[in-house]
Amino acid sequence: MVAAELIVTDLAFGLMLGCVFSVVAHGLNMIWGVVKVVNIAHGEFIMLGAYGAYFLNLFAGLTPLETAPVDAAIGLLVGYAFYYAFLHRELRNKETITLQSEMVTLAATFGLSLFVSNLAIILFTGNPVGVNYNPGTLQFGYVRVPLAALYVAILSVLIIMGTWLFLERTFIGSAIRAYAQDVTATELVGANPAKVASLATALGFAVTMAGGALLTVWIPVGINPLMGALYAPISFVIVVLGGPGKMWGSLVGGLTLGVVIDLLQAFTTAQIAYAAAFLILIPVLVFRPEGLLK
Amino acid sequence: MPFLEAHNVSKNFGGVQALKDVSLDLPESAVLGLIGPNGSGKSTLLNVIAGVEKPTSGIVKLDGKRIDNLRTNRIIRYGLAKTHQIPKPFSNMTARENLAVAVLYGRRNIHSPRFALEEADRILSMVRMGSRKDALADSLTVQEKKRLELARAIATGASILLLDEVFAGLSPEELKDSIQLFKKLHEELHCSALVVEHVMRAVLSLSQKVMVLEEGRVIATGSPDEIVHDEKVIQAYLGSKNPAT
Repeated sequence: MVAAELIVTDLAFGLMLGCVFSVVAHGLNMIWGVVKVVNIAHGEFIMLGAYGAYFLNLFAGLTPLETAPVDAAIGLLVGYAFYYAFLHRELRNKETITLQSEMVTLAATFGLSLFVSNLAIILFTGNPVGVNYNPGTLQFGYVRVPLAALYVAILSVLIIMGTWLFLERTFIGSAIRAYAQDVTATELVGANPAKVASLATALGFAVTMAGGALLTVWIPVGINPLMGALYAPISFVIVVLGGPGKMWGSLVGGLTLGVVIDLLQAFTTAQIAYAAAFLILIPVLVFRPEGLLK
Repeated sequence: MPFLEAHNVSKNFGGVQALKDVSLDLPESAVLGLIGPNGSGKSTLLNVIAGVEKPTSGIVKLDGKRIDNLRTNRIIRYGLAKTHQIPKPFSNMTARENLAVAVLYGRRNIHSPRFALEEADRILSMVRMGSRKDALADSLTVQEKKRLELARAIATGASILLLDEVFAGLSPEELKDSIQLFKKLHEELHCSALVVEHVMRAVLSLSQKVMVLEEGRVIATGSPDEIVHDEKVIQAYLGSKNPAT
């Protein structure tokens, strides 16, 4: 009986953790899926989003939930700047991204990753900080759920649903989907490829930084300049699990990873849980290289 | 006043001269056929007109306005559309979504996805693909993909169509069908077209005028009848006196 309770509790926590993982990976997914660039500095922007939540809490008393939209707005601007600084030159006037451009963007974003994390150490020091946000708990049968995690989970799913609706149902969204499939054809139907690609990149950054803010609820003393080194690989695994460019793929990958990590953590150690979670990638790549989602 | 005109267009790719001093004009609602052996510069000419490639020298004008320095997406909005030799559908979208994007972005001042989908349905039934509107573009047959490509060009609201081998690779039955369909569309839409084609039967029966390219140079221009009897064309391109394949 106790074991069953433990499993149900961990399942619930795993699902909630999975939701926030999903949104953290979602920005990477959008940029990877649409612009076909893998942003190695992804983790650093999650870190900046988390520090955004920390400082807005410190100076303005905002909760992580309230910080998310502020972070997203900053993320939009950062994303546009990132596109024109790192991607535009490599992508413009090209039908598909060339191997050389892939290498250039990988190296450039790797450099950016080192630069941002080291700058963060100078600015924020290496001492971990955290946001104190505890709106209480909710009792579901014998499972006690912290409301903060529940709110974050709900908001995470809403963000993913929002990006999906935006892509499927709006004027601009249709061009982003078109660009993801064929750049030349997108231009041939009258859309400006650079505008579409920069917007998709900016949206990806907005989601990433908002995700960083939401993540702080799960790491009460874990915001630090090097946290990207953990959350970037987690994001990569999630995107590959779900399939790059599939909006719901982030959620499928995130929930899978969240549940696996939380269940294993209950019976083994955190280190083994995270290691095992990365191992899932191997069978998925062997048997379903296109991702779990069809 | 010709609608589309090109003056002395040349295009070099490194040391290769793909187009040499090519001029043409395409009056309103006319069909100009463009033929020539492989590598004669036909597709390059279409690409230069549509802004996909910039000309090395020369001028392209649409309604008297220079367009050779504009980006493709701007040119498309001025009422020109191009199909791609190898169809380039948005493969994970349905046929109607493919057209809806073209309606939204090819025409000016249309921002309602609902209206775009209605337009898409109308155009799909015009090209007799109404029953396939919800099929993923990826799952369409070659003929259907070519037709979707044509429909998407129409959906941008273009009055000038640049068609790159939309009749190639079709069975004789499909070809007859497609030629008929094109004639009907041309009548209904009053658009003009520049048709690049290998299939002689298609070019000769559709065009009022035919232009022949060889190694990037125009070697003959005239009515289909004149072209099939032109000595230079027969020598350079047809190779025999019986071109009607």
